[in-house]
Amino acid sequence: MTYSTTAEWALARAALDETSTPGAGPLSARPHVPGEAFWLRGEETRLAFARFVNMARRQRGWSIEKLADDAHIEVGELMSIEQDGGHEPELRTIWRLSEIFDVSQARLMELAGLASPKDTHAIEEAVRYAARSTAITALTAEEQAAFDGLVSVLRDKAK
Amino acid sequence: MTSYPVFIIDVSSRQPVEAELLDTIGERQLLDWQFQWRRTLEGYLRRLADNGVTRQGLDWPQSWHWDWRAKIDEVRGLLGHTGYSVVCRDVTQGMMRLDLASRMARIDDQMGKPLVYVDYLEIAPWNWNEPYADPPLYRGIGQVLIRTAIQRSFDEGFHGRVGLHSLPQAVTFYERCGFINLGTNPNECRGLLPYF
Repeated sequence: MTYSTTAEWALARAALDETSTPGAGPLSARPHVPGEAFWLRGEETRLAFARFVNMARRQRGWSIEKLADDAHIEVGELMSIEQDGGHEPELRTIWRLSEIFDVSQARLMELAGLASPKDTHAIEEAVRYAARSTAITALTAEEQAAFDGLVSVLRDKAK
Repeated sequence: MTSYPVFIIDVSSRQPVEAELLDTIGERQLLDWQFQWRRTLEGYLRRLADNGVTRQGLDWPQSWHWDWRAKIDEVRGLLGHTGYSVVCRDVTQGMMRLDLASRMARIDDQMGKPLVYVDYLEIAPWNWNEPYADPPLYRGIGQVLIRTAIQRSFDEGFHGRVGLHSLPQAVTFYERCGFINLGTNPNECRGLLPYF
């Protein structure tokens, strides 16, 4: 491609940008003001939160049931946290989890989308770690056994 | 990768500054986008919230605010697509992706003729000219990119024909560039983005 411009051209043309912001294609969509804003990244950080709870639990070798018992949290609430990115955990649950996993309650609330992050770098880091942690290894023997059991149940049901 | 010297305007000094037009959207651009652009955007959105602009009535894709990985993969490019970016002072200031293959002209006297379709064009949030935003740092990035799309159209033998769906806040920009507004279509871009 041939392309050359001058400083004079840039000055003259830039005047056209003065009252608006260029943008095209739905991928570039952003809030239209006056319109409405939203709380950024709720789902993204919540997925990282789910990942954290899942890994912290597994690192200790606990089942969801065991964690639920020890932390006095409903089993259903824990399953929703780990598996449903749209689930909004209860404040009390966050408090229990921060106690049992020995992490900052405030940070955990931010990650769960219940408080606006004071330190966006930290939350961004957490999200990055969570993304990196997505399992790429094969299932462990226990996971495989559980999975096989699950599959067999599903196959029975299908008949 | 080819780099073309271009000029954009430093808003505070009102003087042209040297920048580079790259014929790619590379990893570096995507990192700038994911981390630097988003951080500025976040501050802007907080300011909106502080000014009582609330969450209802969203009119952009829900995935927009969190699914950055998907967005990156989509921008990274498809066959028949090509990307351009503008870099100034070592930071990506704007990006554009062009579809060179699948779109046809819609205005009457050129109906059905091939064109270059701008399927994505965005400038860094610190260059936005929006209510509640800080004054832009640089101006003229959109001009460089649109001129690139037109030049590419000539190079492809499309006689400078270019089409795009404009963001609502960019309509006057394209009108001033001389584009013809064909309005919105309920079957495209959720009926929100007018076609030029």
